[in-house]
Amino acid sequence: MKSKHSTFISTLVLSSCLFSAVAVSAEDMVRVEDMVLVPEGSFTPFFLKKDDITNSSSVATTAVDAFWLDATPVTNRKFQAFVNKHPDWHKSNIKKIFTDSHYLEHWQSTQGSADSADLDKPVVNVSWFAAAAYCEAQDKRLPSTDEWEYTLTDNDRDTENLQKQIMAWYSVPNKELPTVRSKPANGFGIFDMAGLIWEWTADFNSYMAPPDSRNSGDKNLFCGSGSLNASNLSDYAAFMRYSYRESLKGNFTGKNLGFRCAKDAK
Amino acid sequence: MKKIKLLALGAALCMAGLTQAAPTPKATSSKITGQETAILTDAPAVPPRITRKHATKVVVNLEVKELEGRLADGVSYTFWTFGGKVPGKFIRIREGDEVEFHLNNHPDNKMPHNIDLHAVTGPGGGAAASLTAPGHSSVFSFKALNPGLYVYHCATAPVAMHVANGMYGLILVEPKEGMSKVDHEFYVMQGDFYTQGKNGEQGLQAFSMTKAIDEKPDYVVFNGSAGSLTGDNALKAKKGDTVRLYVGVGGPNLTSSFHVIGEIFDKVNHEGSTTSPDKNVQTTMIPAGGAAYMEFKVNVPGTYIMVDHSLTRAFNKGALGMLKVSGDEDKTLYSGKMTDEVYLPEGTSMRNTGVAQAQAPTAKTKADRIKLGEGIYNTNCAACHQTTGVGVPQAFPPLAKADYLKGAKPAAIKAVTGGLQGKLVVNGSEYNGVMPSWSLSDEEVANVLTYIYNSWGNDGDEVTLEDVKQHRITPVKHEE
Repeated sequence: MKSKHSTFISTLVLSSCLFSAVAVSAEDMVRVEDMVLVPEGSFTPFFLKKDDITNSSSVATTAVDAFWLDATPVTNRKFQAFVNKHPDWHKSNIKKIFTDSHYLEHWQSTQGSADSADLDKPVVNVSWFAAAAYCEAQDKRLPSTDEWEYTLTDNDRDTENLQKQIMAWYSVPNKELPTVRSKPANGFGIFDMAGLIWEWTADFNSYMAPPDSRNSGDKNLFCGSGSLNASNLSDYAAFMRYSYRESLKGNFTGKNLGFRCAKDAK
Repeated sequence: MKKIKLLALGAALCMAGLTQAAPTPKATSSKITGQETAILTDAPAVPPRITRKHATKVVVNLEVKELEGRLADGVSYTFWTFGGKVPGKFIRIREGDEVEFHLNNHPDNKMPHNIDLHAVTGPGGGAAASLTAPGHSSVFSFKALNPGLYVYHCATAPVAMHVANGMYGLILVEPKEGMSKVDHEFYVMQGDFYTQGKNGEQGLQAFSMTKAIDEKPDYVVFNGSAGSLTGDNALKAKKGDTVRLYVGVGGPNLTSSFHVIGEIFDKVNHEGSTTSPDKNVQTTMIPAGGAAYMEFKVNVPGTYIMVDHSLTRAFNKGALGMLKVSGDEDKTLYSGKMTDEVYLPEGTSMRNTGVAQAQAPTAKTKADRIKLGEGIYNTNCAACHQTTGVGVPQAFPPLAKADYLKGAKPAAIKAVTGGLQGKLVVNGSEYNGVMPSWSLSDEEVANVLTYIYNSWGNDGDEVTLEDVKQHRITPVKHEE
């Protein structure tokens, strides 16, 4: 499922915004409200894209343009504001094709709103459709998987530690979610890329073969064949991230699955 | 007209062929009749034998849970499980059954999971059709075409980690003729675990990717934890029972040299194959991602230790289980310990025969000495010099008709009490070895030498206590 939603960004307004923000910022990192400008760069993707599968040459780096990214995952507080403004996305109103039955199930009050104790925790139990709608309502979009992965790699600043951090999160059972910004930001100034929740990306399953391997050759993530076109076979954390995304459909929700939004830099 | 006739004949023949084929068991038994929900069990229990004589539709509901559990005393680990325990639930179906498989991924889980059943014919063994996000459930179905004992496991990338965290189990596809009846069936599965901390390091231990890739596990255990089959958790049977073990190896990396100490497997079905078993097997090799089942009758009561006979895994990493067999002892099958005798390897320097010494009676007459000396000789000397006193050519000199002994009691006493080393010519043959000195009492030395001097054509002298006292080299030492 490729992302087909449009972003409705008013380029003119946005760029004037940007320039003013750049002008006033005294820091290295460029911020507008809660967004951070991630500079352009490149990274080695863990898997080749479907489009690249026919190209059997060794893994090349992928270039990523500069883009704006939310410094933290979207919180319950922000999502509550969105739902208040757009009642179509209230848990009692949401159209059945846009979600499974667990949509916002952690919002337990009778009005179906977020618990006050959870306001600064990341919103979870949201489908891809709901996440995309939220971003669109902010004149933003979901980040692409490339953008998300590039941000996670943090320009390879501390790859080993990062992997450890992710693995440590994978290997403990679900606990109460902490609030966002509980741990230091990475080198880009982005918080909570690892160790908090899974996050939706716009093209979350574009890297993978279809879930039935019968018509996909050997390019899928099952068993040994998973290692056929991976770029770093010892990056178990990445294997898991990609297979997690692969297991999703747009209407799925998860207790650990949230999102953040992005925006083009130009 | 002729053509039509021929066709009709052909059709008739066809019909005949069909009607003949229909009653064969194969045709009837593969028809699906009825529906049932599979009984699933946690190790070491095994679901009951299948008694129905027809194929049916079997619904299997398996829930994936990620949970913290005990790996060893004071050591916990986050297991990823099929059904809440390691190994996963035992699934038992019959050849020809149509299985509707529901894989449920608990909403509290963090990971997507799937299942690859080695009993399934088809790409991925079901894995492709069962990738399931947390909070979701996948359904697929398959027909059990091949009988046998098969491993199932999670095959989501990185598969090695999913398996290392405990995602494996066994599925038995009984052959159409069924499994023979035995008194006990048990389910045992071996797996290797890779923890951040060393073996025994306390607390919650995270998975170590590095150790897993290096294939250096800290734990190798049966049924998901060290001690899962020992002490009160031991498997139990009664004397005379027949026992069938279904043993699988989840891995992810190590194979198992599966052995039950003190038992011989009467039958082993290697690789989980239901074809004719091998008989009288000591240790059977089970590959990672493979299984075998074995039967034996427990004839002698006691505790039998199950191990991976790659023994440091058993004694240092946990691959140890017990089968306790109760009942009366049968001394004709196994006597228990009958005697405890000092073992005398060659070439050692000092032997302390403490046990014999403590009980040694004193001889009153020469005949007594000869009689008592025989026992001492057989215990201490016969291993080298032989019970007939002929020795071993080029290794141990003879005592029978030995010129060395003739009229040389002091030398003999010195040899027994002080040992001998280096070149020695006896009856014209040269020897160059070592005889240890013996920590025997004066009484014993007197008795054993008197026995030697009065056997195998020697002179018949008596060696007395006084002789020994006069000529002995090493004073008697009691080490304890």
